[in-house]
Amino acid sequence: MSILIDKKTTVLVTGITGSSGMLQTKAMLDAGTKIVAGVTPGKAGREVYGVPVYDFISDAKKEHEFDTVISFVPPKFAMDSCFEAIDAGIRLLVLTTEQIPLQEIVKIVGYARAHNTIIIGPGCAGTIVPGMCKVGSHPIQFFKPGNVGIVSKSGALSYEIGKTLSDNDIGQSQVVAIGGGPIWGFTQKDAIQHYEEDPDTKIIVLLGEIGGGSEEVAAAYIRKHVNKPVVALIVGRNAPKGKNLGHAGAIVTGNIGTATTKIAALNEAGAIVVKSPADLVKKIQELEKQI
Amino acid sequence: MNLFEYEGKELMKKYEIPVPLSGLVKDYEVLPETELPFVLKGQVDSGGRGKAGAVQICETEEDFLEKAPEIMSVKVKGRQVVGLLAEEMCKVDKELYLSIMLQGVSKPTLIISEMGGMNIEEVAASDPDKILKVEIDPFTGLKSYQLKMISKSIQSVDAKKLSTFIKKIERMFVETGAVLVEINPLGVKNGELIAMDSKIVLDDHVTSMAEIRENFEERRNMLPGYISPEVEKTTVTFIPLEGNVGLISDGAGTGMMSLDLLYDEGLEVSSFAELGGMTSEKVMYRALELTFNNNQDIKALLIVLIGGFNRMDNMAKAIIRYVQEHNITIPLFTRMCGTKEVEGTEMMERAGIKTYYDLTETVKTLAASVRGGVE
Repeated sequence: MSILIDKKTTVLVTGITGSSGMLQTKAMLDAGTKIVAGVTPGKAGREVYGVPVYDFISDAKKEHEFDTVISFVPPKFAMDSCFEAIDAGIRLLVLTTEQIPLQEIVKIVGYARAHNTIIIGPGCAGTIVPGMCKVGSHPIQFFKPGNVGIVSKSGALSYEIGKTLSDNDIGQSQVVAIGGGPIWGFTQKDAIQHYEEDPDTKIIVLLGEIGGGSEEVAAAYIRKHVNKPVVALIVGRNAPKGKNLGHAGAIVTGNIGTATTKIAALNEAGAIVVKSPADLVKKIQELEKQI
Repeated sequence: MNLFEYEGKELMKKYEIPVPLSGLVKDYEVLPETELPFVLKGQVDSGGRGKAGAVQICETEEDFLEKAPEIMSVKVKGRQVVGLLAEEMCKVDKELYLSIMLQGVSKPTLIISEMGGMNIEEVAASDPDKILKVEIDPFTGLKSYQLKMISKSIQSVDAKKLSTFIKKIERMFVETGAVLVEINPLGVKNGELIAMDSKIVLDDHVTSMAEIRENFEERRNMLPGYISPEVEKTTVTFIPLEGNVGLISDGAGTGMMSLDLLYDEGLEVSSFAELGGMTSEKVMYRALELTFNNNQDIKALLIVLIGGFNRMDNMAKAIIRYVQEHNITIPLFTRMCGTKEVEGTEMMERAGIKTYYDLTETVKTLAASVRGGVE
């Protein structure tokens, strides 16, 4: 059993007829994901790679059972589409959409929490269980089954580290990319908590970034509640101050969000902090021998 | 978009938030219409104006003629003063601090303090009990009991007047979709509240505000000291830096990691370029253009690509075209993998450009090359 998704997960895709929606639907089907329906308002009756399309989630619900929604809806309509998904009583919502206004993100995350829907994102690559299925955009060729659980803000960094580990014959139990922030539904701390409880995960990898304080929150959790080994890599150590490096959350202002404070907090919490993918591989190989 | 004080105050007027009378100075050799004496305030995208000498009182016309160019030449924490606001002298009985922010917090948060006019972070450090923070639920807005709590903490202002003022600020914050509305100081004059300063940060992703943002941007061109920023039309994030190795990546996280790996090898990066979103041949070509235009003398270029839905054949096309069109002779270190990897690497090979598979190896080879070793 892995966290968040497994082979029983059934998925509805919102924004399924858009270019990303179609591409990703195909890739998810190829990865073994059970996609039962799609939604794009005004496009009911169409099919995308054999998946029936509906106008509303409630229409799809009459015909199909699903517990998860992945959204490729453009920013302007994302909030409403999320509300619709949450109102349908789903368990998990993966929100890939970027550039949603911050005040709307606060509403989406708040509404999801109030209705017990887990929301990964916004602006995220989603999650993959290698060899089983995925709800997101992780290219399957970079991953292989195993017992390392990865949580990353960045999507591409989770591909990069997944690939590096797979190239060195280290498999993964699950990979979650939660988005570049600065506001998240599912957080690094939440992922670590899930991995700690997941019997398939033996080693936890935290891929952090400069900016904000979420790594510090994760560190506080690790210190109190985590017994499994955590290996952390914080990127952006040498990034210039006050500049935004592609992720809205990845910005150092004053002394807040520096790599130094994050690394110190993680070290203090008992995590093993590495500086490069090569060191990450070395540490995990050492840990695997001990387990 | 970080609004200048005069822009923020214009927005405030729309929401019937009292501000002092003021006028933007159009000509620094002509006394503005604002009645003397007035405060001449440098418009600059930074705090700490007063200390830097960008806010001065003008008693006479001579005063103005002397001080206007002086303030225009001031830099506040590295930021140039771009314009001047002449504002009526406003003697107040008390200065408060008020803001609603959504920066570094997960919910809009109202902050209010009796200690106005100072840097709020310093107050937070020295007198944390003099600051009240109230989280605003976006579905209910500020609740009555929260307003009562706020009023109780600010004894110097009539509770009803304070609540009315705060409700206006909240309405402006919500309707404009702002990420920061800060009034510091918030003056109290004969029991009435007046916004002496304004710092507003708008969210660039709020589409309903697009027209207002464009209008502000257009009118900024009237400011003599304002240089309009170059707006990148593609999805590329480009940050010029000081080193001599170029860096292009197709992800923010991998870009930052590559930057770290280069620094760990003792190298410095000339610029950071991230392709962003759904990339294409055009976007990759643009990233190359930005990198080489920024610094023609780079010693090497690192390109880190991991194709999810980014196709390596498209990336190869852009790189080959740019190299051939611009006769690039410096060594390129391109890590290519993922979607259409075989096609991409074959195209690169035919064009005589080496590609790599492992990122660590790529960086180490680049470092050796720059240090004068063998490629």
